[in-house]
Amino acid sequence: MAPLLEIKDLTTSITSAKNKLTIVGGISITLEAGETLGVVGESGCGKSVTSLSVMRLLDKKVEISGNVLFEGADLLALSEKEMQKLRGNQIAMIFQEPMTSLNPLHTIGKQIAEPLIRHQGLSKREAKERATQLLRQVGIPRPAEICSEYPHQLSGGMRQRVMIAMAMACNPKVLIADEPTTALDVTIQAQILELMKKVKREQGTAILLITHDLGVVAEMCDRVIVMYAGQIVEEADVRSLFRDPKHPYTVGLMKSMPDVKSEQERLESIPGAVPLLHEMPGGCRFAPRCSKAMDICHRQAPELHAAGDGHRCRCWLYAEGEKK
Amino acid sequence: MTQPLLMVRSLKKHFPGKSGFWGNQGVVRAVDGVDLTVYPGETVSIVGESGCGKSTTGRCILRLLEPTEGEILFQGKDILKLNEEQMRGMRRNMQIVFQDPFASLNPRKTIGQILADPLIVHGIGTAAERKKQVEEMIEIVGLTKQHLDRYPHEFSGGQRQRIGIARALILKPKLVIADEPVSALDVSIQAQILNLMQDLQKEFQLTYLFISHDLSVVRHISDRVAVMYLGKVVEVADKKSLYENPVHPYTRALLSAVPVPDPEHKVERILLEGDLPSPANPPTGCTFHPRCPVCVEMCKKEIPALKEKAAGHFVSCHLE
Repeated sequence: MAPLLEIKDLTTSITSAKNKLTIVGGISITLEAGETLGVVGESGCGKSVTSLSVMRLLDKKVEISGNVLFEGADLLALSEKEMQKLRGNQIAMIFQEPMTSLNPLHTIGKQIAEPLIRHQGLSKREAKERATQLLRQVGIPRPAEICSEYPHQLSGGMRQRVMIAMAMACNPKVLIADEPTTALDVTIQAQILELMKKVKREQGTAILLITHDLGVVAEMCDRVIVMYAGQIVEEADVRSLFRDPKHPYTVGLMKSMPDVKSEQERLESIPGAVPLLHEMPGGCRFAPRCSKAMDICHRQAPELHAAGDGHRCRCWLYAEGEKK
Repeated sequence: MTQPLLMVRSLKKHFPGKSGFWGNQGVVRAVDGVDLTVYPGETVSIVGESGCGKSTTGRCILRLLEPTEGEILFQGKDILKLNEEQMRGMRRNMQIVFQDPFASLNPRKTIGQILADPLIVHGIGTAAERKKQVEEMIEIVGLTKQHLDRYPHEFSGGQRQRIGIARALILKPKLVIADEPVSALDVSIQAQILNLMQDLQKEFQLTYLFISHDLSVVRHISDRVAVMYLGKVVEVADKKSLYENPVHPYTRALLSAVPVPDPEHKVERILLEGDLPSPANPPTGCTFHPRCPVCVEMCKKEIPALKEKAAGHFVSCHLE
């Protein structure tokens, strides 16, 4: 069976006055129906740009190449009008900052009703009733009253619940969640994570969860993709990734995290910083920071190889036979 | 026992509430009676969610905000009685590192100027001596002399935080208040900065008051931890007993809410209902009672006091 969403060799770049900068370089991701796929990485690794490219929400100046296949159709080849029919309907998205992604001038009820009227042809009254029902499902107290309130009257956690209600309004097949709990306090984050699990359980929505938090990944995801400097460096199912991380970057990321459950004397940090877009190293992009870097790593960029255990890993350490 | 470096007694900071047509409408009790003791050489953390008053407490201790009530004893001396001039002298011993390394460095000054400023303000050394100190300091935090002629925008977040730390340490303070110093940083950079802070603590015998919302970071860096909720400290203990035997229902819920980076970990979570109440209109009795899973009648009426439940482990809860 074909996967629900298949991203093939997605490359996103911008052309500035001087040169062409590649933000995301040749990403391939498959998302199966009903699964939660985590995309982790630090700021600037291209995880958000990937999701915005899929949704075609980037500026026209940004060049996107590759294919994004959703139920047989290539999203990158659709007209804007056809894309609008999909957005918020079959594929929905929630963002990190719920305050800037809700319209401050419209009531909550009106914003949730909009996709229902647009995509499902509900009347205004039906849509409003459904909006109230959706708010109840995401655990908002006094849903009927909240419907006529404005975003600024709600707390951060409540706004994120509204965003989820809005995203789930048309029972999408794919939900892209870009750092959905990053702006929230930990007790509120716990509420939202539980809510996302409930939504997935009840509606079988496939979730593409973008986050920098490995704790959230461990709790929510079935499979994980680790990104570094615009590329996928490792892919594995969640258990084997945490049990046996292969790429030195993934290993470094896990070791540099303090643990709430135990104590360590000293954290192992990764030296240096993520390279800038116009200063990408020639070989492996992680080589300048890697403690295991060999000669070849600085000369030649590794491909994403199978590394046993269902892992895929972009590292020369796991590509013995293919060294040139 | 050694004398505490810092003692905070029933510190309060109330901000005027919304000003309306009929004048000011009540007060926002951002900090509402905080007691805290910090001994020389240790790291005490204040942990809590947004709006609990942890940053306000930090700023009051430096008198960057004027407290409404209370006492702040630094080496036994009440610094709230000092005038502005004396306070400025006092700040040589107490410095702060801010969260946002993008907003806390003057974009129009070079790093060299930024680091020399505290020395100039406190009238330390000649220009040549200051230059030498600045050059030493920048290397201590892991940058190089060449960086001194550059401007803040030329640095990454992690490097800027190193500069922020260098600026705080150049006066050789005794106490450093670090207000969410690693929250804006990625984990790999966060680890670098935490390691640097621990190294510097040993080298310069620093005392840290570490303010953070991140329970994992706090566990890593602290000796003792104070948990704040709605302007009050609800639990204080040494790190081990706080994380292994949390007593206050809020601390328990908070610790259980942290996602654990281990897919095999069984999530047993105490989910709190609702949101943090507004400090402009705090609940009666124990301020945590509307969200507390084990609340009883008494909690709604009486404010619990911070009591010692085990050696060095203080909790404010009627039930425990």
